Amino acid sequence: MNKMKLSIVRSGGRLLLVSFLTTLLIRCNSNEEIVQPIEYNHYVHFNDVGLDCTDCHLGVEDKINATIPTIEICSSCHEDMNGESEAEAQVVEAVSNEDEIPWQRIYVLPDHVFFSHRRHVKSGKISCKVCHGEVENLHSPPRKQIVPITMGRCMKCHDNKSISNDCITCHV
Amino acid sequence: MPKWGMVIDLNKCTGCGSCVNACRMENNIPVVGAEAAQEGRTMDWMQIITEYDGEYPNVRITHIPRPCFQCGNAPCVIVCPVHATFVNEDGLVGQVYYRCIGCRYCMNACPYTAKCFNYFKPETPKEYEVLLNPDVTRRMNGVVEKCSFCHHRLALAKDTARYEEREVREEDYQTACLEVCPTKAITFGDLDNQEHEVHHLMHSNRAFRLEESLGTDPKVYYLKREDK
Ligand code: HEC
Ligand code: HEC
Ligand code: HEC
Ligand code: HEC
Ligand code: HEC
Repeated sequence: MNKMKLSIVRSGGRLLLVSFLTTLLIRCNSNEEIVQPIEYNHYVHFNDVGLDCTDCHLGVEDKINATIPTIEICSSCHEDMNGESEAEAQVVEAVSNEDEIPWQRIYVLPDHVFFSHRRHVKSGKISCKVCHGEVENLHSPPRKQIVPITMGRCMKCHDNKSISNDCITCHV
Repeated sequence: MPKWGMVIDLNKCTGCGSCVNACRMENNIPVVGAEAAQEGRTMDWMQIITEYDGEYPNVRITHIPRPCFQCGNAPCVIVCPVHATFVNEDGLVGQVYYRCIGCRYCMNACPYTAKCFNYFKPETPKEYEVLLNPDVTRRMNGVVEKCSFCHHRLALAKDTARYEEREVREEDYQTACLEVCPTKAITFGDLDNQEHEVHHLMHSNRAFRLEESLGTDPKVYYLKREDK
């Protein structure tokens, strides 16, 4: 009888430990840094090449999603090497093979939230910086959200600008 | 602010069930299976209530499609302990699933049994995943859900309207059940807009609302069935 109780206590303890460790793991995971397949450089393209955000993120002004550029957009300039960096060589190779580069998304909202870029960028006239930080000065891809997207941030700005903050304007 | 509402003509409704199906597809409503259905765990946001009048063989059948009535004075809102359900500025009764604690007070309070509870985790076989509507989140088990008047369509409509720098027009925002109705029994729009048909229909002398005496102020009107 006692033995059984003990084993229950033990397995209970083990369960607790396991669940504790899993929570820890999940917590760590959410802060995990995302490494992109290619060391893309926003600084070079914005400042040296002179591209605008809308040249690559085609949806920001006219669509709901900003979109990450497809290989087609890179191919207009990267059929051959412009510089000599290794990262560029990778891009040139991808272009010649017509392979999509498997970019990872960093800014992702849960699917129960409705967010529209055109509403904020075109109608709201909010600059990218407010929500994404100074992307144009990044020499390598962001590893995590520079400005974290949280409900608190969305609501604070809406409050300041007297935009509707009723739950179902954002939650679908 | 527009006051979104619906008028359903019971003369036209044949009880075909298209609206029920369209609603399931639009809102990613889970199918619970035969056994759970026997236990009353079906999840349909739009249901067809069938009313029988008279004795066989002189029976008169009336089909009453029942969405959420988006009551102006909603009993479900009054009882919610966590503000997961509320009447918003467009007059819609919102339900925030991540806020809901699954106490089901609201289900009990709703005189129209419009709310349902997620007994099961949402599961979709891989080959059916393409059928899910990406604009609507899937609810987890343990929360209450109900017809939203397809308010994700309103969010899109507002977004498009603002982009095109105009007001939301009624044709921008129509519900899924209405779109498929073969007899056009459902009319949807701004009840306060005198130019819209929905406004005239709601003032027709056939118009009534279910359990009006409860004072819930539903935004769904029915047009009484009349035999010619
Ligand atoms: C030459 C094309 C190009 C231009 C111009 C460009 N980007 Fe990007 N952007 C990319 C690529 C490729 C990625 C994916 C790799 C990465 O994260 O760095 C990306 C990623 C991002 C991300 C992270 C998105 C996510 O969720 O992973 C943000 C934010 C972003 N860009 C903002 C901007 C802003 C702001 C500008 C203008 C200052 C800009 N971009 C200009 C190509 C471009
Ligand atoms: C009001 C805040 C806000 C502003 C302003 C904003 N973004 Fe975003 N951005 C977001 C959010 C939130 C997401 C996540 C969207 C999602 O998951 O649906 C996102 C996602 C992205 C992504 C990832 C890819 C995608 O399709 O969503 C890119 C790239 C991006 N933004 C670029 C930009 C650029 C470029 C600008 C400026 C022209 C900009 N954003 C302005 C909030 C903002
Ligand atoms: C308008 C032309 C243009 C487009 C479009 C363009 N690039 Fe570039 N890119 C350049 C030029 C020019 C350089 C050379 C900069 C240097 O090394 O001096 C460059 C350099 C690079 C580098 C090397 C950066 C470094 O740190 O040296 C990478 C990686 C790169 N591009 C990736 C991309 C990707 C990915 C895309 C598509 C999303 C893209 N580029 C689209 C013009 C372009
Ligand atoms: C820096 C300020 C700012 C931030 C941050 C911001 N918004 Fe907004 N939002 C606005 C403005 C301004 C508008 C109105 C734009 C217009 O139509 O002129 C708006 C409009 C909206 C609308 C449409 C409201 C309606 O009544 O139709 C939605 C939905 C929305 N935002 C969602 C979000 C979400 C989700 C986030 C967080 C990821 C967010 N916003 C973050 C400023 C912001
Ligand atoms: C301006 C847009 C906006 C409004 C208004 C808003 N939310 Fe959110 N909400 C978000 C975003 C974006 C997230 C996801 C990011 C996060 O978790 O912080 C979120 C996440 C949540 C979550 C956490 C979900 C999870 O994954 O655990 C809850 C709960 C929630 N919202 C409830 C509410 C309630 C209740 C209201 C009304 C009082 C509301 N929200 C209004 C944008 C909004």
